[in-house]
Order: sequence, then C-alpha cells, then structure tokens
Amino acid sequence: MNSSGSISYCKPFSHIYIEERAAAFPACARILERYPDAARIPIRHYKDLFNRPRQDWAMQKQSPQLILAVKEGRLVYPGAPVCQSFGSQYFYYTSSVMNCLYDCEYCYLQGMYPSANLTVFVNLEDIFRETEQLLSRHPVYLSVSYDTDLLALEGLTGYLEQWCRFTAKHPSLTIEVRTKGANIAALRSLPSCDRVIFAWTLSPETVIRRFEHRTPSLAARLAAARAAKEAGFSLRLCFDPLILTADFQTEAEPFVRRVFQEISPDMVRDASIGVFRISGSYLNAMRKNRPDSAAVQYPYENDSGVCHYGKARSARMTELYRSLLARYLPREQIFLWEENRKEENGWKP
Amino acid sequence: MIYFTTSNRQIAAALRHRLGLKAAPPSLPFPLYEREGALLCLSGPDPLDIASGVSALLAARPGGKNLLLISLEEGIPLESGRCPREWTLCTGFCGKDGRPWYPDILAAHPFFEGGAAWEAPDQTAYWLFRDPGAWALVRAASHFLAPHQILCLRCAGLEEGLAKEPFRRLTDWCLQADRLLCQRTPVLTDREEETIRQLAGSMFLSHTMTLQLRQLLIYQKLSRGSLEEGLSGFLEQLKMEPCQNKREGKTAFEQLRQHILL
Repeated sequence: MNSSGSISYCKPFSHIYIEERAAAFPACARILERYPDAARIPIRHYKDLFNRPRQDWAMQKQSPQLILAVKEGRLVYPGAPVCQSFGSQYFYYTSSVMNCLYDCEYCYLQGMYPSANLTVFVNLEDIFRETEQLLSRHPVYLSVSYDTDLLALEGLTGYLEQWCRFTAKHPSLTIEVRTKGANIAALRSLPSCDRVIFAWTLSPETVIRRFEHRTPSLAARLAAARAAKEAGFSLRLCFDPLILTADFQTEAEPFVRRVFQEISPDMVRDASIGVFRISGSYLNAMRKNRPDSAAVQYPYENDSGVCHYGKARSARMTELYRSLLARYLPREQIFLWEENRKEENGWKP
Repeated sequence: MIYFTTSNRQIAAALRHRLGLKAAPPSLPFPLYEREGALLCLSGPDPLDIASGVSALLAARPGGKNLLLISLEEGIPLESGRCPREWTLCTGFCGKDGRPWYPDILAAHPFFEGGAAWEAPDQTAYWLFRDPGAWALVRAASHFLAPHQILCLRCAGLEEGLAKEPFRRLTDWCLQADRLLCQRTPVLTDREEETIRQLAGSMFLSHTMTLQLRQLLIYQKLSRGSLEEGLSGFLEQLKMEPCQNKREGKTAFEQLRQHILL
C-alpha cells in the first residue's frame, strides 16, 4: 500500500509457480536465483494454472507471474500458414517460452493463449534433441522466438546463448530470433554465428507509443539491430505487422528513411512486409481482452477465417512499403506476406 | 462491487459493524447484509452450504467483471503452531481428490500467503490450512468469476484478526482491491448504445448489420475519441432524417463505413 492509501498491482514475477518435475532442472534453479524475494508456489502441472477457464488477460498483463514447467509431447512444429517462411523449404518453429514481457495491443498471443502469465520451459535440452533428429533428415530453418521475445528475456533465461552455441555446432541449422528488444549488452556477449538471424519488428514511433506498450523505442531497436550485425549475426528487418492508423500514409516514408539512415542496406540480409492479419477465433478472444484497443476493435474483414484490412486496402499498404523498401534493397531481398500466398508459405512435412 | 462471504458469525458481525451493512430483504436461503457497493452473505459452515450459498448469490446477483468475491473465515491449521495468527491470503487450493485451483494474486497486499487444502497433498510448508469449505467455495465461484476476482483470507487466531486495527487494515485493503481490480468502464456509454439502436432503426439494419454497425462505431470512438468526431454531423442527420427503405439504409451504412475507415 502506498501512503495515499491506495494499493498497486503486484510486481511482475512476485509469484513463481513451479511444476514438481521442473524443480530438478538447472534452468529452474538459475531462474529462481534471480528472484529471491518471489513467493514460490508448488504446482502439479503448468496447465492447472495456465489453462484455467475465465482468466482475464488484460488484468494478468498488469501483473504477469512466472511459471516454470517441463514441455512434453512434440517440441518442434512445422511453420504456420500465416507465418513467412522466407523461401525455406524446411520451416519449423518452437516455443521454449510462452508469452512475452511486452504488451502489444495487437499481439496474437492474447487470442492464442488463455493466460498472460509467462511460462518458461526449463527442458531446453529436449528441444535441442528433437531439432537434432530433424537435422539428421534435412536442413532446418527454425524460428525460436515466435511466441515470446527471447532477447527481452535473455537476462532471465539465458536461452539465446544456448541457442547460439547449439546453432554454431550444427551447420545445417539456421535459426530466426524475432524481437523488438534492445538488450545490446546481451547481444554483444552471445557467441557469434551468421546462421542466427535476428529479425527486428520495426514500427513508426507513433505506433510504438500507441500500441506496443513496454517495448523499446525505434531508436533503441535500431541501435540493437546494428549491434547484432556488428557482433556477427544476420539481420532481418520486419515491417510486419503494418498497423493502419490515421498517419499511416504520411509517416511511412520518413520512417523507412530513418531506418536506413541508421542501418546501412548492405547490413541487411532481407526484409519482410506484412499487414496485420489474425485468425477469426483469435480476434474474438482479443476483442474480449482488449475492449479499448482501436487496433483490435477495427472492423476487419473475415476472409475464410483470416481477418485483415480487406484485400484492396492491404494491397495498398503492402505496396507502399514495398516501393519504399525497393529504394534501399533489391527485390529478391524483400519478402511479402500476401493472402493468396499463404498456401505456398505454409509448408507441410 | 464487493461480495464478502463467511460462515463465521463473529466475522459477519465485525464486517457488519465496520462497513455499516444492513440486513437485506430475504431473497436467498442465507441471510444477506448490504450497503451501496458491498454485500455480505452469511452461509452455513458445511462445504455444501458454502458452495450452494455462493452459487445462489452469484446466480441471483451476477456482478460480471466488476465484482470482487472475498471469503473470510477462521483458519484451521494443518499442523498446530505452523500458521501465523494473522490474516493469510490463500494462493492455492487443493481438493479431496488432489485437484488444485489457483487464484490470480494481482493486487499488492500486506498479508501472509499460503495454501488451503481439503487434506494436505504433501508435506511441504506451503500448505497451511485444512479447509474443505475454501475448496467448495472456489470451485463454485470459478464457474462465475475470473481467477483474480476470487480471494480467500483465513486467520488462525480470530481474536487477533478481529481486533480493531488488524480488521480495519483488512477491510480497507479489500475495498481498495475492489477499486483496483474490478471497477471498469465500458467503451460505449448507455447513451451511445441508445444512439446505435436508433441509427440501426434509421437504416433498417438487420441484426447482423447492427452488430457490424456497433463494431464500426466502437472503432470510431476508440480511434477518434467520440462517435461524432470527424463525421460532420452524419450521425445526427441520420437520426433526424431516417432512410426511406432498406436499400437507402444499406447505402447510408456503406457511406458511414467509408467515412470511418481510413
């Protein structure tokens, strides 16, 4: 309680829920060391907590708590149709962490997961083993930071360091680390490998301030992107998702110009463009969770289960960014997400 | 809105006195006491009484997202001497069959924390109270409310817990938690909802199209701050001069869409 007599939310991770089996893993002890004052609550299975009915995502996001668990079943999945494969034939993704420290209003996680609490799976070695099985059959392109932001969490988990070491040891593995993070110190301490692609999601400053709460500024993201390249990693710029605002048209050119003032085009491996799109069922859940978000409450068109701004409007938004990026990057380095390409994007093993 | 439940007459009396709760006209099988913004349900002590009391209360007076349910009871320690003799917030519950349930503890609080179990599921120091009633209450209430809306506080030493100062701290915290967690304003006011109904009538919209109109106007308000902003009196005109038929209504609806969507 503060002096005025009103109370505040609990600090993030004031309570840590620990699955019985997870307690034995070194990652669990490592993470708990960082939060010596947190209340520790033993749980039987993370789903007892994570999958409770009627959870309130928006309220939980005010005070996210931490769950330490062991991941079971299949650990590495084929890429989803709404995700870009960047031309990779063997495109997979994996989730060593569920949920994110940031609070982006348009984030699909609030439609996909019933809880906003952060769940860290402590058995990363099992994910490595399953990846090695795939590598014994063919090369693998693996997204390791889709349902979270591993760079933002590096101080907590140390998982990026382990992924970088693992990738360096396996020449036919390429990993993508999707991020909005700005942890330059962590980037500089990671073992360098050019098959680790850091993919920064970039948005105009107005979109960051309005919709991407608790995320680093554009300047901080660009500085981190430059640091990643200088540290020997590959660099991808993601203009995805493009969010429609009143200033969308006018701020696009200065935004892209600023990005390439900070990041020389020859530092960039490739770039992606995609308008905001979301599965209809996720959008329904998101609208309940975020009744006051213009990004979520936009009257999207539902096209065979995928909601978007409408084909014509989406095409205009994509084309604007494509033409702006074409000033700096050759065509083959620019990847577009388009509704009619989702079948070819979605490789199935 | 805050609902207190207890089966303990001492706690009920203290709550009535502290919050100025008055007996409500009988409407449930259990006595209710209330004032504006707060209500107390005094149920029987058996787990079945507790579950049926809270179920009846939440079914008869649903509070939706703007409700905080707080159960206050005397705590029965699982092992004598291990429980603090102060109010303790239960952070986990365990049923007879070992099934667990956890509330979301979102508001910072000054209480001890621990678990309440039907029977101790293990020997860890986490489990403080033997409390079949708590399990019955959370199971029943979780059919109606989100996990952050259900809180149980137990006190192993009621004499200390009901003393003036500790009890004042407890009730003050409960009222503040209610303000923090459960007082939300809907995006559209009642007046704006009425405007939407009128507009839908003016444009001869079907039920589905009325829902589309509502979604469109929610977006309008969130992106521009009000229903009218940037629409140059379009809505007012529609209300004053309704369309003549469905076809005109459809055209007007499409024009409105074009105005609002960028």
